[in-house]
This record gives sequence, C-alpha cells and structure tokens, in this order.
Amino acid sequence: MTSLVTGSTGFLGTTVVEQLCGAGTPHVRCFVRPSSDRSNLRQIQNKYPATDLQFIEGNLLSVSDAAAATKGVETVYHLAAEMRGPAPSVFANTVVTSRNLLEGITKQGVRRVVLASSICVYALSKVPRQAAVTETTELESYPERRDVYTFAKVKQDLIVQQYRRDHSFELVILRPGIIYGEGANLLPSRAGLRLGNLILEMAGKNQLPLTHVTNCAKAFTLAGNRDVLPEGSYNIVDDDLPTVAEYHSLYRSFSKSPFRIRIPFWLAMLLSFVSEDYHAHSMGQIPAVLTPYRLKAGWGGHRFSNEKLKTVGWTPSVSTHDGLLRTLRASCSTKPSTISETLVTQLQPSVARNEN
Amino acid sequence: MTLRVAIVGCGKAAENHITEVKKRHHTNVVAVCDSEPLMAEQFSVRHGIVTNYCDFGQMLREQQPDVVHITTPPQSHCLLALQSIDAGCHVFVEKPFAETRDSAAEMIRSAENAGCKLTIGWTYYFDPVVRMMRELVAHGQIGEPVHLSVFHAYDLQGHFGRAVLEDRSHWVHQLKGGLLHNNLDHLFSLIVEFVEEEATTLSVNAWKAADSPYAGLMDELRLSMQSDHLSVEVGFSSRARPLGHSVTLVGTKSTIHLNIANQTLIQDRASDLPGPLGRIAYGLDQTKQAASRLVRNCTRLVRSDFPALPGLGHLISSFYDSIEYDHDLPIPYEHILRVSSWLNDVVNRVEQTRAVSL
Repeated sequence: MTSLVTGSTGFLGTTVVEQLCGAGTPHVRCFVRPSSDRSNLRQIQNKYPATDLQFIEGNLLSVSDAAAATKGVETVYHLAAEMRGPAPSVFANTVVTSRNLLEGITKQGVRRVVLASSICVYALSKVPRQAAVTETTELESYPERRDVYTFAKVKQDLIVQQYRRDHSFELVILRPGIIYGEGANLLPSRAGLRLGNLILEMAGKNQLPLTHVTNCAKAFTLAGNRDVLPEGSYNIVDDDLPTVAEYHSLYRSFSKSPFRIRIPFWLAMLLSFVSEDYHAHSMGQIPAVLTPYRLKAGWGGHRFSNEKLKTVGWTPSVSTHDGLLRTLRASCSTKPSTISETLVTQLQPSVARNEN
Repeated sequence: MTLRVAIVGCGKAAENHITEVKKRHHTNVVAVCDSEPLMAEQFSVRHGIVTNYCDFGQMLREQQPDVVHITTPPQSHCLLALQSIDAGCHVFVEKPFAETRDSAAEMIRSAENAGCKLTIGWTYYFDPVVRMMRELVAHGQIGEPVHLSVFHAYDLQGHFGRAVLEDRSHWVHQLKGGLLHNNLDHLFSLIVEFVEEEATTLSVNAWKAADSPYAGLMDELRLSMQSDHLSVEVGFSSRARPLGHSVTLVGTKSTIHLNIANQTLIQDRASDLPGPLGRIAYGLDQTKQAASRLVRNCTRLVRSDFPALPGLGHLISSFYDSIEYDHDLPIPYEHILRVSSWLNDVVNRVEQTRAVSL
C-alpha cells in the first residue's frame, strides 16, 4: 500500500509525511521538485526506518511526471499549491498541476484522494459578519474578485470535484484555516496587513481561524483511512481560538513587533473603498490589496465550524494555548517580559470566554 | 479607429502587456490564446475578456485581430509571428525576439513584405530614466561616449527564477544560452544605440555560481566589447545585490549613473572650483540632483505615473501610434537585428562553456 504526498517538502507536507510514517504506513512516496530542500524528509527517513520512504522527483506541470508519481499508489494526499507570486504562476502551480495529477490518478486507478483545500474557498463575502461557516456554505462564485490564491484554490476545488463525479475514486476535501506552528509565518494576513515595519491590525475582535500544523496533519492522516473518514469536505480549525487583538498582544510580548495601528472594521471598510478607487484611478499603480469584497471575505469575523470533523473522531492534540506558546518561543528571539508572561497565562481563559 | 488586439501566451508577460494595452484608448482586447486551456480560461476570466482559445489559427480566423501580442516562450515566437503576419496582423513580440538571428531576419522580412509593423518587448529601452539619459546625450551634456557599463543583478530565488529551478523541463533550460539567453536582451537593449555594428566582442565569460541542481545553468556573465571610440562592459549576476539594472555612461564631458529599478539618474560633473571647494561643490551638486530625483519621483507617484514597468507602457503606446498614424516604429529593425547577432554570438560561446562544464 503506497501513499503519495505532493507538497511533501512544505510546512504541512513534512508533518503529514512524518505522521504517516509514525502511523506505520508501509510505503510513503514523496513528490519533490528538483530544487526542493529534502533535509527534513531525510531526517524523517532516519527516524522511521521501518517505513519505505521514497522520493520521486519531478514537476506536476508535466503530465508524464504526474503519471509516474501516481503509479501503484492507493492514496494520494495532494497538498502541493503555490501560495504567492504572479497570478499565472499561482494558477498554473495550483490548478494545472492538480489537473495533471488527476489525469494520473484516474489512469492509474488510485483509490482515495485527500485534497488540501482552504477555508478561503467559501463565498465569505455573502456570509453575514460573525456568522458560522460550515461545510454546507456555498463556494465562492466570483473568485476573480478575491486574491489570486483564492481564485486558484476555488478552481482547484471545482476541478477535483468534477473529476470525482466523472470517475470512481474516493474524495476527501480538507479545508484548513491558518496553519501555524514552529517555522510558519507569524503574521498571517487575517491578523492584519503588513506594510514594511507597519502592521494594520484590522477588526481586532475577529476570531483567528488557526490550526496547529500537528492537528491539521492529524486530520490528513485520518482522511487517508476510508474506515474512519467518509467522503466529503471538512473544515479544520482548532478550539479555543484567540481574537486578532489577543494574538497581537501575545506576539508583541515575544517579539520586537512592527509598529501597529488598530483599525476597526468600519474604518477598514472606508479604506477599502479608497484603495479600490485609487487602484482604478491610478490604473494599477498600487495593487488593490484591500477592496470591500475582499475585506468582507477575509476580515468579516466569520467563525469556522469544526463540528463535522469532530464527529468522526478528530480532536486537536495540541491546544491553541500550548501551540501558540511553542510557536512564538521557537520563532521569536526575545524572551517574554514578566508582564507578558501574565498575559500568556491569561490567554487560555480569555479565549475560552471568547468562544462562549 | 478601435484596434482589435489578441494575446497569445497567458503567462506572466501577458499580465504586463494587458495592463498597458488596457490603458490605451481605442483598443479592445478581443481574445486570448494559450495551448493550455486552463491558462487561457483563467486569463480571460480575470481580465474580463469574452473569448479564449487554445488554437492560435482558429483565433486569427475568427477574431481577425489588428494586433497580436506574442508572450509565449521564445521557441514559438518565429512561427507565431509569421502566422500573424500572414493573417495581416501587426505583431508585438516579447523578448528574446527569436532563437536565432536568421529567424529574426525572416520575421522582419515577412513583416516588411506584408506591410505589417513588428516590434519587440524591450521594457527598458523606453524606461523614463533611459529616455532622460538619451536626451542628455542628444543635448551634448556628456560629450562623446567613452565607456558604457551595464549590469543586471538577478534574483534567482524570485518568482521566475524559482519556476526555472523547480522544473527541469522549463523552456529556459531548452534555450541554447539558458538563463542568460532569456535575460541578455535587457542589457543589450540598453547599449544597442551606442555601439556600432562593427564592434568587436573581446571576451565572454560565463559560469555557474548559484547553488542549483543544474550543472549547465550559467548564472553569471561578464562580457566586453570594443569599437573605435567606445568600450562596453556587460554584466549579469545572480549573486549581486541590490537587484535591478544599472547603467554607467562615461563621456568626455561628464558621466551618468542610472539605477533603473529605483528610477534615479545622477550626473557626475567636474566642478569649476579648485581643491577642497570643488569637492564640497561636487557633494552639493550630487545632493541637489538626488533631491530633484526624489521630488520628480514623488510627483510621478501622485500623477499615477509609476507603474511596475513604465518603459513597457511607453513602448506599447509608441507602437500603437506607429500603427494608427503610420509613424516610424519605436525600435528600428537594425537594432533588433544587431542584438540578435550579439545574442547568437554570445549564446554560442555560452553553450561551449556549458558543454565543458557538463
């Protein structure tokens, strides 16, 4: 039984590979690009000698590479995607690569596919502020009005679902929130917009839909098991999540944080109109990072439900409190001050209150 | 008259083209084409273009565009350009123009015979600071050019560089001169108007410096040329920082330094004052020029005149003017052919070096 992991050298991919090895998967095939750093995977290989950890080099933009990767594979964990860069690159490395992989999957008779989607694919601009987003929420109908990553992820989601309808493989779509952990970007865009040494903290009362990389990877390993996780889509977010303001306070206690300006949602909305108008008026001189549509989607304060995933036995093994502390301690050079330690200890009850 | 525009190749270069084409009045992008249907579709959806194709011939037949922008990998430029010219279209070709000098000559010959206009996407040829340098030279402010040096600090870890490194079958690897082949146009386009055709290429040194899995991927180049009155040095490096293009033009009266990425032009002028006073006057002059650049760039920002590739906008606008009003082409064919000859020469030498290193 061989499992293929695309995006295996990435932040989530490495952890998924490690958990698959830890769970005793006999053969794990890692798809790697020629220039990818394989040092983390080598460490895993040494740690789990009982697992046959294979490397297959290529690029999913190549149909033949995708076909070779899927040969003899039972389960595919498709995590590879381009998160930033020019729109055509993000699209090609997310959607065209997925289509090529799906061609290989259908030709080689792969039994189960686990896709790493994202919570960003939902039509969040239509969902009222602070409302809950579940797996039944409709997908974004106007992805071109959102950022290039969302545009690509929505199209990827639709293509994978189309292939599922036309073929016989089983499909599980996992939609993680912001994946964090040691080595991740500490200031995700939902926490604010960074402009050089300045960060615009928008809508501080919003809950940050975080998931620790260990918890997220756990959902992926469960999804590979057809006896545990039925086909369908599942959101992945942890419990006891902090608000944006709480996250910033914690972050600033560990790090020489950039200068922060707090912007309430109404002011952010006003700025987004100005930004959109200026973008049009200046004929694209400055990108329209903030538009009313994007603001409603990205900073609308939605709460993402993880109930469906919990009903099949997933629980976060790393609490948000511990995960954040571990991440910040590992990533920040400065030690927290005494006052900040107080804040740290207060975080858990604070976020618990926030959940209620 | 509204010009009907079509774009073939829906990658990153096409993004730059469509942004600039849309700024111009009396143009309408009617269709886009890419051999990968998903890429054609995404481009048309994001830019609000109604029609997209994956068959170039079908697009030409059905849409009958006036202008075709070719933004595909260079291996396909010649074929697509000839097909477009056959269909009576004016053609804007991304750099590198063609794989060989012979192909470049064939494209130009076909365009001339068909009465079509043809140009190349030399972004920096009409960059605002390059145009400013051109004016200073024309007004005799630097005297006679003595030495020209152009340098490109390239980011191999940037979006494009990474795409090349991550894909063994990337079209850049298929070019005879590899990464250098795809980038030298930028440098040659900055020297072409100063260097006579008879200039001798004295030396070409290319080597691999970056830590990449490709033994034959040359990412450093130093080249020198010599004509009767002018010496030229061309440099390309994936290790040098800060990133971007810089130009130094030494003349018999003064010297000009261009930083294209930051849009600055500074002129070194001799002071009339003696000794220490001269040095202070020089410092004051430099400060005055830097302040003037700052004010000018702020003004451009306010006037929305600071796009990512300002030279491309000017080039596209001049090309469309040449079509609509039958003006001269913005880039003379002799310049395109001269650069094609240099490229031929250099990539042949680079290929020899690659062969040795492999």
